[in-house]
Amino acid sequence: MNLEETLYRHFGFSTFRPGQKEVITSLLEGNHTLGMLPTGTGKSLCYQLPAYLLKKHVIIVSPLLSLMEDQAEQLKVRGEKSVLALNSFLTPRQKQSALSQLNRYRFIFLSPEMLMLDQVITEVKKLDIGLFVIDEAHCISQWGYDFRPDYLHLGSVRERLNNPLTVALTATATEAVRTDIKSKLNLREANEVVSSVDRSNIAYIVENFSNYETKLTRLLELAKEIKGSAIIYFSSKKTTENVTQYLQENGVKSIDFYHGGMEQEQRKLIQQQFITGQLRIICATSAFGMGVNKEEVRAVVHFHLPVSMESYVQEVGRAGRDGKQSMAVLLYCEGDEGLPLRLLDQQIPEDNQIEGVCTMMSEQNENRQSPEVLRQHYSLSEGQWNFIQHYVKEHQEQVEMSVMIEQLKQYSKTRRQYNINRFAGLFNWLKTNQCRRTAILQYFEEDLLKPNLICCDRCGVNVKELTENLKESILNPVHPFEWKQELTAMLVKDPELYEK
Amino acid sequence: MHLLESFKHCPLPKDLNGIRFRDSTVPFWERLSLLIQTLSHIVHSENRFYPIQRNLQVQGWVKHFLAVNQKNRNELAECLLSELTGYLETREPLEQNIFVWRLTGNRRIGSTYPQLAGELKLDEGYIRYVFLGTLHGLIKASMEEPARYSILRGVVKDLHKESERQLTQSTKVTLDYVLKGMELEEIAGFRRLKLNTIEDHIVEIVLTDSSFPIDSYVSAEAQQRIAEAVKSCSTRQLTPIKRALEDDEISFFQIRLVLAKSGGII
Repeated sequence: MNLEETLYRHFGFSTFRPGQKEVITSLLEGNHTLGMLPTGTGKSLCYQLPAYLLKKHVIIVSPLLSLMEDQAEQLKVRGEKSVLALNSFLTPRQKQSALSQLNRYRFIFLSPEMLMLDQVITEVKKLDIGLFVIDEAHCISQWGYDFRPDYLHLGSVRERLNNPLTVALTATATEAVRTDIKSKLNLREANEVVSSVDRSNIAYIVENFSNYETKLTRLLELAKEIKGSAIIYFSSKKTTENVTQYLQENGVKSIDFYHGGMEQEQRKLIQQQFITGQLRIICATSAFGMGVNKEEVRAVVHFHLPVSMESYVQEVGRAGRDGKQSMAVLLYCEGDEGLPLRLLDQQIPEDNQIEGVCTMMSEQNENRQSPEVLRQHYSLSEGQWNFIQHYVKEHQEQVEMSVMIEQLKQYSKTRRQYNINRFAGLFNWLKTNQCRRTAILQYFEEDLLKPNLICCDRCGVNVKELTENLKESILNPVHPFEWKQELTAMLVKDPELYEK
Repeated sequence: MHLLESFKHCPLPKDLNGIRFRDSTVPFWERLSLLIQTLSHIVHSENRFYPIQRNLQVQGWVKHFLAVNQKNRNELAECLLSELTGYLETREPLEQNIFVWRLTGNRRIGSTYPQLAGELKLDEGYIRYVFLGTLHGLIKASMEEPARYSILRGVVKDLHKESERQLTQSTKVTLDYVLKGMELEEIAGFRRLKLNTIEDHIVEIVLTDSSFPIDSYVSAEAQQRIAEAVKSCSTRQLTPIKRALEDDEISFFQIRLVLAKSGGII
């Protein structure tokens, strides 16, 4: 059976998307592989399909709990039963029972923290591992856009597992980051499969405004003009809610908001309403999107600036997964750069916070404060707290406290400058006079291979014409109902035959 | 005046009973909503859907419930339908609507609270209360008339047993430490509470769960003697029992434990 047949049999697709087949072939030939496939082009297939051919266990390391849950769920919905997501959502008893029968599962998702536990490693080691998958592999590089210190241990974990066949997957990574990924994972000879970050069916548009009101009015206009599904991204929960309300009050139908501060059940409802077309537009923070597989999103709009080119490309990539013409619109108003810069700043601790926390952490037992007290006392954001915690954990045994404090201050400074530089990458793109597509590719050190007919605002795309010509998505709005009829229709196949 | 006025417009649901159903409401709703979603897809011959409840325990429960249930799926769905309709028919239109809007089926995903608030032009918090009242009412009905609500009874059954032995928050903390093997004095010291308070917690635990072992606090022999003294005094008052025992080594705490464990039957 050739790869296409396997693809069809297990996934129901008849052709591969760019990069998928190359990664899979490289793996089946037994090579460690680094695959860079842009968002929206089916990265997960690169490990799911080999699983059926290798007929061995596949271990997937995934940085985000919600992403892991989504991927496990998607496999289950497709009918794959032997899926396990081993993470902190499980109760200790569930964890024990899962660990004692790991052998039963084909796909085993793990968080990096889990893989630091000896007990987990011991059990995983007993398995015949066909493939070791590192998803969102850019997280291992501190020069990647979403550095996760926990990922640094994966190199040694691989060794402890006797160097299983490994695939590192990422959507966006510059060459420097790719080299860093390979060296951190001890995969220097790995094959690289790099697909272009270019998504030819997405048109890039930036619109400039002189004040908030005109930007808001334009958003309202866009929300009415775009007939298909759309995601509008914001950087603040409060604005997400307020602007949604404004749009609702001004006649935009089937629109709602989503952010990380909502209860889990309500979040799930909104997400499913969007996927099934009950909602047409979602206003969301960056918490929305990972693991949301919706094919026909016609537009992604940015009301605020993302923090980097990488996150922009990631978010925009949620448009047009079905390959049909889609667009990315960024609405920029003079001064908008303040918000992302502030958000980035809140991730890195200040000098006085570093001194205060480190000094108090080194206190002897009776004077020791709980983490909550420390965090509150120095008003540390979660990001700042983790930043310090992790650094201290890694370095406290090697150097004296006073030396470490100085090193940590220096490191914070470097990170802060690094974040600013990366934001500058996005900001330059915003201000460029050049073709936007070419500029995105330049950022990722690629060349544009063939010109695009419907390219970007710099290449003269007419936004009005474009919005009018975007296909409509399949929508499924809810209509008022009579409760009893609705309940009956829900639970009985043929309500007319149902008499009681 | 203002408050009274608003109660007239938005009366508190009559079945609202947070104290009694505190712990069973959420799992009851998680199970029921997922069971309805699952049946809805099955009867419409759709076998792929994204479960609206993510909790694996809840998903496991629904699978198990369907596996052990002998009825054919269509019949099961019809029975559930008639139980729900039967109950809802006794309720106000507002309750009927909120409940059905919250449900997810094969054609429609349930509404969120803010969506319902917008739709019905009512306060979101009020909608939450009304809905909670419906759930409490359903739990109560299924417990009082198990024959009429046999499927709902099956959903609630093991949940409510748990919530009958509810412990106060502070007692739960003490129980945690006890289960970790700490001595009562240690717990008292650690939590900066009086030993008496910790002892009260232990009595509370035993009162709600008579299978909780008390041997490490009262020797088997002392338990025997206390039980005899209780019998001979034919009272549950502590002082006469203590007097009858004629033994300074036996504390009031130990007597209370034995009484609690016996649940009144000695």
